[in-house]
Order: sequence, then C-alpha cells, then structure tokens
Amino acid sequence: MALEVSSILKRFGEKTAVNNISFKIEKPGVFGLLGTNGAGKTTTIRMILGILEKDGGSIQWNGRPVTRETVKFGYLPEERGLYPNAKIVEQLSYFGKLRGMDGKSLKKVISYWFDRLKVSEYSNSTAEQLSKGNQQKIQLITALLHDPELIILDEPLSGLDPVNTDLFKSVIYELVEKGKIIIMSSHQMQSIEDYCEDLIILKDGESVLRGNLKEIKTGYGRTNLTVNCQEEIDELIIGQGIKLISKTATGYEFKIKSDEQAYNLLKQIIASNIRLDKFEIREPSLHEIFIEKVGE
Amino acid sequence: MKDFFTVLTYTFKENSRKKTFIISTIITLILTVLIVSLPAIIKNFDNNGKSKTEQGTKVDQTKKQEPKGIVFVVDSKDILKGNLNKIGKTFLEYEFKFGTINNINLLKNKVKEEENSALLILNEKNGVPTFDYSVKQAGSGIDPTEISRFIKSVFVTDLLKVAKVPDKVSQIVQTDISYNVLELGKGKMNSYISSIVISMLLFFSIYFYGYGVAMSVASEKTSRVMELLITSTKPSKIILGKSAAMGFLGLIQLFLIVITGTLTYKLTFPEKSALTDQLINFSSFTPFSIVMIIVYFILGYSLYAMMNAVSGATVSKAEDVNSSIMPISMISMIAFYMGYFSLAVPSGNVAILSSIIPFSAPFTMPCRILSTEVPSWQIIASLLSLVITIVFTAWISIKVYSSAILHYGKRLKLKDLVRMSSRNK
Repeated sequence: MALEVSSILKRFGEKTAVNNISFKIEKPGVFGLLGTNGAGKTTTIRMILGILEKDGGSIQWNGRPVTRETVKFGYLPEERGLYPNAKIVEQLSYFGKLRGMDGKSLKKVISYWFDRLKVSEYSNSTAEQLSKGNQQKIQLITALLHDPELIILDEPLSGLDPVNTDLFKSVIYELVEKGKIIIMSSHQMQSIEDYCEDLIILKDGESVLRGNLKEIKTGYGRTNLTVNCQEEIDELIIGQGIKLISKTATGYEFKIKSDEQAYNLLKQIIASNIRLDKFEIREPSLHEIFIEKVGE
Repeated sequence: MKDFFTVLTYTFKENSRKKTFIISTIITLILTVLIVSLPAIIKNFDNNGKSKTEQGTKVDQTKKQEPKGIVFVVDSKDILKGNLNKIGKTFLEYEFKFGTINNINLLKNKVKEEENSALLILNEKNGVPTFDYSVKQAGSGIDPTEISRFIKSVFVTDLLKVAKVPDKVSQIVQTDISYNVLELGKGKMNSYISSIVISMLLFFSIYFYGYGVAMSVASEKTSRVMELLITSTKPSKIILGKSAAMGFLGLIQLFLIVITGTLTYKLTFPEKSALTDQLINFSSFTPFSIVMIIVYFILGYSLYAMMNAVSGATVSKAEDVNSSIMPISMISMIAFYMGYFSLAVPSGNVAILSSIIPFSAPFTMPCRILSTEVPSWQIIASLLSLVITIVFTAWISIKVYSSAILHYGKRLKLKDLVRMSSRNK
C-alpha cells in the first residue's frame, strides 16, 4: 500500500492554491498535513479524494491513479457533513450503501461503532439534536464504517472534550495497528506530534517542510532550553548569546546554540542561589518548528 | 445503477416524510376538493336564490312592480305612432314616457343622474328609422340591439300593412329562424377548461418539484453533506437519483390530485346536468391523452429539474436559492403563458411553435391534445426536441454540478458555470 503525490498543482483563477506539492506515504501510520488557514490543506485533500480536478501533477495509489474505484476512502471533513433533520442510523445506512455495503453487514458495523464511540442512545436522534462532540463521533463513524484503506481526517479533534479526545486517539491508534494509512490535518500540534511519523507543512500553497518528524527534530538539534525557577534570571543571560523566546509565569523559554551555553547559565543560577524547578535542554517541539516555518 | 437507486430511495423517503410535503399535499387536496365542488356549491346557491325569487314573485303578483328605470322617447317622425303601449309591453321592467325636442337637455341630465334611465331619440334617414340612445354608462338600461329589433319590427309591420300583406304572413316573415349547432369534434369550451386545469397542474408540479430539487441540493451543500456524497459516488448519480426521487414525489402528488378531483367530481355531480357538461368533459381524457400528460410531466419535470439542480449547486446558502432559480422561473413562466395563450387557437402557429419549443412544450402539448386533433408529426417533433434538450441539459448540468457543489462563497454566475463546464472534461 502506498500513496504517492507528485508535484500537484491547483489554481483558482489568478491564485495558485497548491503549488508543486509532493509526498509519499509507503507504510501504515498517520501522516501529518499541516499548515495555517488557507495554506492549501483542504484543496490538497480534495485533490487526493478526486473531488477537485488538479491542474498538474499526479496522485497514485499503489501505482494507479486515485479514483473512487481504485481506493476505498474514508473521509472526515473539517466541517460537519450530516443531514440535520435525518435520523443518525438512517444517514449512516445511506452512506454505507453508497459505499457498496449491504444491509446486513451495515447493521453489524453500525452497531459496533455505536458501542465503540458510546453513541448507541442517539441512533434514532437527528443530527441537529446532538452536541458538537457527538456529531463529530457520528462523522467519524461515517468515515470508517466501510473499512476504508485510506483515511483522511481533516481536523478530527476540534470541538472534542479531553475524554472524547482520548477516545478518538485510541480509535486512531487502533486503525494504525490495523495497517491503515491515515492523512491527518490538524492545528493541534501536540496531537500530531503524538501520532505522526511523517509530515508536511504548507504555507501559501507551497511545501515549507517535509519528512520524518524525528529526523526533522534531530536535524534541528537540542536548540531549546526551558528553565522554571522562582526568581527572575533575565540579567543572567546578558552576554551569554542566549536568545529569549518567551517568558511565562512559571519560567523561561530560550534558544541556544550549544549545550555549553546552557551549562554556563545553570552554573550562574546555582551560584546565585536561585531555587530551580526545571532545567531542560531539548529539541524544538512541533509547535515551535511550525511557528518558525509558517509564522511571519 | 445501484448508487442511483440508493440516492433515489433515500431522497424519496426523506422528502416524503417531511412535514412540508405532508402539509402541502393535504392543503392541495383540500383545495382540489373545494375547486371541483365549487360549481355544485354555486348551483346550490343559484337554486336557493331562484326558489326564493319564485316565492317572492308569487307574493308580489298583486302589487305593481317598481320599474327598473324610465326611458324617455322623443319621436318627432312619429315612428311609434304616438303609442307607447307596445314598447312598454315588450320591455316590461321599464317605464316609457314621451319627451319633446325642446327639453332634450333636461332629459339628458335626468339620464345622467339615474342608473337605469335612458333617452331614445327616434329619427329617420332615407326613409328608414334610426335612433340615438343615451344612457348613463354603456351597458346600463335596455340593450340597444333589443330596441333596434323592436323598432325594425314596428317599421316592417307598417310597411307590410301598407303593402296589404296579411297579418299572419307578416308575423311569419318576422319570426327568427331557430337553429341547433352540433359539435362533432372535440368540444372547444369543454376541453378548454380541462386544458387550463391540466396546464396549471403541470406547471405547478413541474415548478414546485424543480424548486424542491434546487432546495435539496442547496441544503446538502449548506450542511456539507455534499463532500461526503461525492467521495462516495459519482455526481451524475446524485443529481439523477435526486431529481428522479423528487419527480416520483411530484407524480404521486399529481396522481393524488387527479384521483381526489375525479372522486369529488363524481360525488358532487352524481347526475348528468348541463352545468357539469359545461365544466369538464371527460371524453377528452382518452388513454392516449392521459399517457401523454404523464409523459410530458416526466419530460418537462426532468428538463426543469436538471436546470434547478445546477442552480441549487451554485449557491452556498439555502436562502439564496430563490434568486439563483430566478432565470429558470422566468423561463417557466413565459413558457406557461405561451401554452396558456396558445389554448385560444390550439391549432394556430403560436400553438404549434409553443409545443415544439422544449421549454414550453410540457405546458402546451398535453392541453392541445385534450382540445384539438394534433398531427402526429407535431407530437413526434415536440417529444424529440424535449428529449434532445433534456439529454443536452443533463450533460451540461452533470459537468457543472460536480464543480459547482464544491464552490463556497459568492454565488456562481453564468460565465463561471461556462468556464467550469469547459474545464470539467
């Protein structure tokens, strides 16, 4: 199983929404599709799904052009896509049938997902009677009920409380274990960091960073320093070559060029008798990399 | 094909359960019952009125009736020979009084003030009587043709008397010749009314169910269900399945209206009467014409549904549907009126043209079939033009639809649609 996106291009009039984007997913797992609003994520997803004609490039699944016939998609759109006044169980049957399922297997699958996502009690409710989080669960069932090979989740965790976020995460881990390829777009960097091995970051329709997350982070090196302490240490960094990124109520975030700079600062803190709660030299987080790449 | 039926079944089920469909069906059926039984109600009132008047006449026979108005007669040429009795007997409801040329202005003022009064100035030209007849408003007072007929009768009687023709012969000469007209073809008046009813039914069903398709597409777009649908099946199957489902709903409603109308007709008019014959003549509803009505409904609906589906796909909010289907509404209104006007002369050139133009054919041809003998070539040409236009419209619609349904933001204009259709190969 492999999805290969090569130099895809999409223009809307004068504007180029997606320009020469390429990536390849060869093994099961979660692939992060990141970018600011309007960076071209949804356009890329729509081209992969084949619902938007591309102006250039190719998208292939196992060496064949991607179409509804060559690959079984599971798609969770960013905006809720449910009939507001129709019963949940009936809409799920409808979508299942459109994806080639028969009534008997549909009943079984719907029942499984109702139990798995704890929404059995809402089977006869209409979508508009459900909370945002429960609607998102139904949306996830819609994406998964026909056991798709390629799953595209556009902002799957938005609007979920911590309990349901964990429930969704457990489902996503389960899918990865089952060998599914998942493309996930999200603004929640922490959740992407939890799942993704590979990712691409888009800015204004172009790729600004692509590759394996661990390798990207290693490539950056241990450039970040977190110091949590009881007193102010602003004066201690003067002349050290350490750059202050942010100052919070609990401590400081610095950018360092080498471990040496950090150890020097540590010595000064100890010498100044300042109570130290946390001192961590680390690789930048995905959030920090993202801000660096797409922030102005 | 399986997906087409899945879309059809789901859309049909969802829409038939909607409160709006149930309520509109009930209201339409109640209106049908009311409209069809209206002649019976009118007849009933008419009968009550008549019996009351008859009773009144019996009671008032002893009293002298008040005249409706006064007719002042100025007869300087002595055409009536100074005798108003005869004219008074002919027009019983009016009182006749002589006037003179000198007080004509005074009499004119009187006529101006009173609703049913009139001034009759008799004269003579080339030995033949003529008259000026003044009334307050045209249509009030005695019908001048009746007066003319009376004066002619007096004049001719006098002439015959002078020529010594016996009275008996004179009477025979002046008798109007009675005649009967027998309609051997389709009754024009009878089929005219049933044609109007069918034309209106077809128009409303095609228009409202086409509007339903546009609304359905727009609401799927608004609720973003569309994104899921088009990742599950081809847009062509969605547009065709959806249109077919709404068409079935329309057919069912049309069928219910026809059944209710027929039943009400049978129940409110159990016996044959002149009034019922005047209103609807069932003889024009042959199996062929019924099949044609259904065929034209299906074809007309398909044509308008395809265009409406694209209109629905061009908007991002369901509220904008009305403005987006405006051009189609205009076309359908013009087409309906073309059909309506062509009913006046069902075999005329306008009617022939209107039944071959695909947009107006569904509103014209079924009515023509009901009211006149339509040559086969015209029916074939009409059906062919409709089918070709539907295929062409469907082809364009499917191409535009898949791009338009993913467009959000400002409403798409015609030039955007043309651009999309040329790009979506």
